[in-house]
Amino acid sequence: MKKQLLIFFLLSVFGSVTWAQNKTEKRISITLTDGTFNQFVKEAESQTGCFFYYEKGLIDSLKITIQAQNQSLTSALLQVFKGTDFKFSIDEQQRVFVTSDQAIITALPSNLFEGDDTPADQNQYVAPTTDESDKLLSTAESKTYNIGPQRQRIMEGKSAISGYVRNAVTGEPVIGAAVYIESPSIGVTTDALGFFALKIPNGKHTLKIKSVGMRDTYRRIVLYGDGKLDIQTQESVTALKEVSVVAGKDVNIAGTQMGQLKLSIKTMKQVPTAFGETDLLRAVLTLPGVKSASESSVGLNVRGGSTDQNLILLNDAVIYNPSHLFGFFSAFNPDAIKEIELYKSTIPARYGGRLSSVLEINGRDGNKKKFVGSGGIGLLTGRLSVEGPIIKDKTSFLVGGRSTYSNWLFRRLDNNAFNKSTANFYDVNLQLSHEVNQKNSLTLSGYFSNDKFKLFGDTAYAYRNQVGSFKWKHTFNSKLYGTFTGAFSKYNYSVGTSRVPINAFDLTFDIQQSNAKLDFTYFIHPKHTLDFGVSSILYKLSPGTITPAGEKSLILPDVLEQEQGVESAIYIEDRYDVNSRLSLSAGLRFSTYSFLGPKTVNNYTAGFPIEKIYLDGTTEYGKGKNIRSYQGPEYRISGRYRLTDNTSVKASYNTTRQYIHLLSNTMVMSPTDIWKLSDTHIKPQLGSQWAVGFYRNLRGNKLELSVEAYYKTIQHFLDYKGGDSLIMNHHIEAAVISTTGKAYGVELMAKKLTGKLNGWVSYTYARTLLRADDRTSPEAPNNGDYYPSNYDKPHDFTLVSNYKFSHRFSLSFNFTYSSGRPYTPPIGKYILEGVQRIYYAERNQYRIPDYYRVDFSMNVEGNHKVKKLAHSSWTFAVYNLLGRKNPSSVYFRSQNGIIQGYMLSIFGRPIPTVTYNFRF
Amino acid sequence: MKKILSFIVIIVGLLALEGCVVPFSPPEVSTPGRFLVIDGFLNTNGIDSSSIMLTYTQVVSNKNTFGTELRARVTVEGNKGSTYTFTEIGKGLYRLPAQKVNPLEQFRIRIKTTANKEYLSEYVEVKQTPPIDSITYKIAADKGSVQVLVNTHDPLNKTRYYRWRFEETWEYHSPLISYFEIKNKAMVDRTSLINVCWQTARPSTILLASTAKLSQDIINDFPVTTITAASNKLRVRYSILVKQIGLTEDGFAYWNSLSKTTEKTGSLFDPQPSQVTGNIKNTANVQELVFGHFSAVSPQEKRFFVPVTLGFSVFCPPSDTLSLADALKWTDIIVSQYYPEGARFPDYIVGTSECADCRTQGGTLVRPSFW
Repeated sequence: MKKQLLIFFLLSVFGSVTWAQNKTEKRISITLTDGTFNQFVKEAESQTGCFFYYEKGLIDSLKITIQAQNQSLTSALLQVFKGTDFKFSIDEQQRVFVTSDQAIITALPSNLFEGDDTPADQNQYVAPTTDESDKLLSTAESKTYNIGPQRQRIMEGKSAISGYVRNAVTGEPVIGAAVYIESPSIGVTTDALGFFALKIPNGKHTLKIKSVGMRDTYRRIVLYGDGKLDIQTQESVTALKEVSVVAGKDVNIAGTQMGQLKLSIKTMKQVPTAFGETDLLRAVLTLPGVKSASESSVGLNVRGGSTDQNLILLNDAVIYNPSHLFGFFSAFNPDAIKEIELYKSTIPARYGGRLSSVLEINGRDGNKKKFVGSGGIGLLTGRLSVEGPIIKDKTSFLVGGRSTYSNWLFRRLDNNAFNKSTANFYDVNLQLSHEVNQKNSLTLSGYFSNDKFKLFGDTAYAYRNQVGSFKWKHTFNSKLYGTFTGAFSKYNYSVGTSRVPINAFDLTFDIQQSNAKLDFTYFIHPKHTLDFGVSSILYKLSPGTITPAGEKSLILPDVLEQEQGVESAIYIEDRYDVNSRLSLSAGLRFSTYSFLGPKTVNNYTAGFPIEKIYLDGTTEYGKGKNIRSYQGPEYRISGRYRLTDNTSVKASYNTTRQYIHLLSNTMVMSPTDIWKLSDTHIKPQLGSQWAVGFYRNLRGNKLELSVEAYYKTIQHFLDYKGGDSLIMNHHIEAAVISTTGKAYGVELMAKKLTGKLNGWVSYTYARTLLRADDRTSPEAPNNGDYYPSNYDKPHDFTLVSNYKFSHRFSLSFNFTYSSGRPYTPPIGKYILEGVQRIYYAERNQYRIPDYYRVDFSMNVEGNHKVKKLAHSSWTFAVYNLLGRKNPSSVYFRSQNGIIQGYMLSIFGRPIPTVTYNFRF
Repeated sequence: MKKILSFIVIIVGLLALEGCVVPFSPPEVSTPGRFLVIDGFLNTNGIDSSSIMLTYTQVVSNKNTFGTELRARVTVEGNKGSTYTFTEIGKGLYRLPAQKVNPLEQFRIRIKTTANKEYLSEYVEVKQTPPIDSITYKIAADKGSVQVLVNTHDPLNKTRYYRWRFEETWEYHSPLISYFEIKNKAMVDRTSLINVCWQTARPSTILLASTAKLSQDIINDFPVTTITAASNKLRVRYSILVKQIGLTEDGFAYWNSLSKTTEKTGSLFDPQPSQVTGNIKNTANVQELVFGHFSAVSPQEKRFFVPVTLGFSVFCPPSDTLSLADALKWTDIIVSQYYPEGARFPDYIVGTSECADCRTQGGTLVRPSFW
């Protein structure tokens, strides 16, 4: 037993034989044929006076044939153990330790007390740190895993190891966990199913696993050949409120990705919001490079892109309207979401179809081990979700719902105007995941949201998102795996009024897309990883239908013809680690788009602007006929050069194409904005972005500093011409102008990921300018020169901080400052029909006052007793603590002949909220 | 409980949805140009004269009167050879006597200023306006207001685009009636009373409707205005003159843009303001801003008396009772005589001018001809 205990102190370093260092080595003469080790020991002990320590059971079967004449004990032992896994060492007190695989280290390093910092010899003894000894208690970590077919000898070369990283308690996949070995430095991050695969040299390794909110762990492996290893990790208790923006503590240094940010739901919960409920999109708005035109809107403007240029994916299905109630709430239930990832610079080649960014929202898998529920009660909304296994450890479900009770509140108000108002929304999330076997897993997810409101008893608005996706992941072998995804998204809205019976109408709009894609990852070589795949999307769009409501209505029914298009793409991307310092990633995506019949297309006189007065008949196209095609390559190139272990520089070049447009004549994203497919007259939007960045981590990756700069161009972005209606317009191409945009900026960010005080601070300088393509057109704003876009806010400073007093109590404090949004002021007045009228300046030449806001929140967790009915937490928050009347728009009205300017602020006072969250 | 809930809603910020609006004065806008404004149309009904007003724009903060264009040459020319020359009346106003024009001819306006700049509009078609069928009214359920509605139709289905202007006139009485006045420091009987007034207002709202998307050219119950009981316009008698103007599609777009830009911008979901100019350009420089939309049209009008009386009596007690000597020195208006018991000379009851002189409320004592 004493001998066995010794083995526990073995450390995971490579070793062979320890040579005893005493000069007066004992000599031995012995002859044995097929003798046992016991016989050898008896003889040796009597001749040399040495004492042997070994485990009898292990060495019983060893047959010894030796002929030694006055040999040193060492050389005799070498002869005995030749061709076996047994190792030995002899210490200064002439004790011989025989072990399997690993020799006992018997001496301290000779330079231990001399402060020499040359790398320690492989076989020297290193005392376990307290941290590691803690972990020795965890059996999975103390165990050594043999991967691949076991052999006596480890073969030269490299093998692939793959598997899933899962939460040990809930069984859900851990997404974005870094799985790596340190020597040589090779690593990957797990994908959306928690899957990883990497190719490393055969032999002994410590495979380390690090992830947001999970305890860092490792697995000791002996790699003989290609094989599998599934890893279960524990949730980090101390990470209950930890800010972790990026998975893998040095991903920002080591990865080639630029402008990629990840927020876990825990981080998002720390960002105080106006209505107390965790809001994904508002948390994203605190990140550098992401802005919104208005405080009340969740339309994201990423690095100067417009709100329609973001690919918002919920489990790989596109969400067209990510907001509730005109944008005051984001449309996602925080309980059903695991984390979000935003790509604003380097967009992986597997994504396409939008110009500026990809916002990937990963839903949470249900608990695979037991039934649990969670929920929250806020002042305006309530939510509840239930999850659990269907087949234990194999299949799980999660159902979440959220709704508002504002209708109930409206009806109880004394204010007449509010009494007539109704506002109602709800959303439902469903996620099913099933693990067929080690090689196949399935995920099915659905999302439904519905909004209905009627403000001040007149016009009623309603809109809904219906989204579903199916994902099948198949591992062909440890080098190749693939995912098949099928998804369906539908967004529609309706507007109705019945105040005047003869004008009563119902107006509807509908867009749906069905897409299928195949993605593969192939570990072709330890230095090369290949991603490739194909995808296809079918769009169907009903741009508007107006129908009379009621018998008295004289409204003429009108239907805008349905539009359809197909967008397909093929891509390949290679990640190439040239050496430990230089890493490159090059991707090519080729996308094609066809606008398809049946459709009647308006013709315009060639050589003239697209205006109604130049309308020249129409052309009919039959069903399925290709009316207009567009195609082109998209390049996704990035590289990283590591200057030191904690410093790197990166550069990237990206181009993107977008075949769908959002037409809006309002300042903020509105539910009644119209989506439009590229057609004969409306060209696809093209974007390109150059970016460079400098990254440095301090204090052992605890503090991350980064500077990124970008220059971006946008072509064929549609801006509103002014005056014309966008709704039910049969000549919509004549109501918009095509513009060219440019955007540039610098983003500085410092993040502290751990410790009692954590958070980030960022500063952004960014400009976004637009210019009409046809600069000589009388409709061109600003005489055809560049003008700032609606969301051009040059300076932006954000501080997000959280201080943990204890595991149960923490405070958050946020500060935001940004330049005012541009507006178009009146510059003159005149008299028409006896009434003063004003006229406006060139577009967006003036700015509203600067914006700043302070938010504060306090999180109190219930006690941590294991046995109780429900775990609960309270959040008390004050939004806009200083009560600053931040203007969200400036406007002018002529009333009774007098022109008066007004400033509208939405949250012009401190808004305290209380939210109660629970888990059972 | 209701109170608590209201409070919760307030703290949640639901009322914040309504927003918080404060007046805002924009920073001084530098170097605006001085641009010509052409206000008027060619009246094609053959009965009324046409007038064109030429003025100039000015800075928003400038409180001076608007500059006018004098001694300009204003002509309207048709595409079939006719030309009409306007004569200058003064103060920027130019007039053309009633003309019988060819309804099939298209017209444009040409203006040559003294600075030798020439402005020319696009050709516009002659637009006929059908007569107003009827003006009706609706009393709100809570008797708090009356809505005036207009109905019209074009049996030819040709008008399609409509604009309305209106002029409202109402009679009102001051609460106290003054029977005496002081003339040459002597108390005399008033020869004409000052307690009955008529006031006229021309609200600036642009009223537009289109039947382009209806199967028939019928305007049914288009709301022109809503008169609240609180305004006290309905207390005695109220009359409204509605003027109906047919528009071309282009004219409709112009007035619609003007309405959107100057009356409806600002709320979060309203369109952004855009520069609205019109159909007139400087012949030498098309980029120069010129304001106004020229049209050739025959407007129709109809007067309607709203047969409803609504409103509140204003509580207005006399301010004092004075002796003749005091009354002669006093500034208030003499309402009536009063004989205290046993007195030989009357005292005089006086009232403030707000209570006894209806002109202080903005009206005039002149009875309108149509009343």
